Amino acid sequence: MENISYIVFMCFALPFLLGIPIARKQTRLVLLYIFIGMCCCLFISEVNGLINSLIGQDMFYLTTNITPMTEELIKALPVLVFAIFISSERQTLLTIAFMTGLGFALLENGTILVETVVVQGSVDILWALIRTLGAGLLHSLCTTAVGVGISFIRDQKKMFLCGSFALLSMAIVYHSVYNTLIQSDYKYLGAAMPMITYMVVIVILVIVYKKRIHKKTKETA
Amino acid sequence: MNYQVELICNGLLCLGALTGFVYSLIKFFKPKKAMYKKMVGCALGCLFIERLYEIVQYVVAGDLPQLFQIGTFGNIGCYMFLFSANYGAIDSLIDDGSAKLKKYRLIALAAPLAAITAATVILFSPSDPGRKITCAIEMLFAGASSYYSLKHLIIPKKYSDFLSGMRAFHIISLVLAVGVAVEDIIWCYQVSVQAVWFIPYTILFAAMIALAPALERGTKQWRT
Repeated sequence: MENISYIVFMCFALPFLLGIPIARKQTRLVLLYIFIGMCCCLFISEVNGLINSLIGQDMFYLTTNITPMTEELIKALPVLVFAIFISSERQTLLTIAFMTGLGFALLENGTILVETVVVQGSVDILWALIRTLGAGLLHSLCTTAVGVGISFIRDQKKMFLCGSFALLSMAIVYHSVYNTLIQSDYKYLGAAMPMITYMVVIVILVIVYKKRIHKKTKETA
Repeated sequence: MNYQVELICNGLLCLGALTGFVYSLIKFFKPKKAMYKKMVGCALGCLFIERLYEIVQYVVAGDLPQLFQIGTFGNIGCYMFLFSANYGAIDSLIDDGSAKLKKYRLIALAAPLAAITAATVILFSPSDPGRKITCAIEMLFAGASSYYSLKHLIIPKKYSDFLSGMRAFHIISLVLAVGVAVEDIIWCYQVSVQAVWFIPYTILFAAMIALAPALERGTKQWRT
């Protein structure tokens, strides 16, 4: 089981890579950043292993105080590169940030699924729901939050650096709270955390969208 | 300090930060609202998550980690948001770098100096190195943020009319930084008198609740 993350990466990520040349512009970007997210996940598994051997702390300390920091940092890098070299258009940046988190969560869930099946013999629907709606959303939301800060890279440079760092700090602590809860007796609370955040974001987006439509209708009338 | 007292105090602070955060979500996170206000809202969000982290650590692990603890990033994030809001959004509108404001720029340096003093006091405490270093780093960020809070507080009305309504907000921002500094110092010196612990917690609770309403009141005349 030593190379399990590489095997899962080949099974999950390579189809995305093969789809990239075929897809059209916007879809290609989405596929590419899901693939990059998976690469980040693979890379971070090695980095975390290295840190674990250096620090020598127990797994709980590592997953609640070290890995949130390394994971959020690595996930933010592709978004930052995109903003610097390609485009800082907010909508595109938020999409690719979300996709990076999604790709990351996809490979992480795949690896953990295989490991859990090997160790425990089986998993149930509830497990899958917690992994998908908990960790899946968490990674996407955290990277999107950092993407919001990075989107100021050209418009407001003074705000970009401090704002991105502040959002990164926020995402790191949020990730840590999730990791702590999910490993405790309160794991349902942990799984609910990203779901509640996601719902709040969706409600805000719907309100803004409705207001925009209302305004447009008024203007047309 | 007693585990239960610590948990209750952090619970109260978490509630205070949540109240401020929800208030700012309702009032500040609307289309066409100033970015400055949204950043202050995010600062309160950081404080809320930081306290939530501490509560979760107390409940799940029984205590905060002895080495480096990641919750510090919550406070750092809060200071960075306040710094970013004051420096990035407001400061260039008030201070063009001319000599007329030199006096206020120099006086405002008192805030980072106080923060450096607090960091030095923390570094000489008998606490373990990991805790001391994280608290000292936190103080440096507090100093950077407080510089602009103090500067914008002392600049007279004749130089910046729109800042005059925000004095209460800047005072509360400074109180917040002082509260965290006192909390860190008490924590690092492991003061066992529980009454002393309640001082920073009470200050912080009041500041967290009052920060967003003070900003809202001070910026009523703002147009974006």
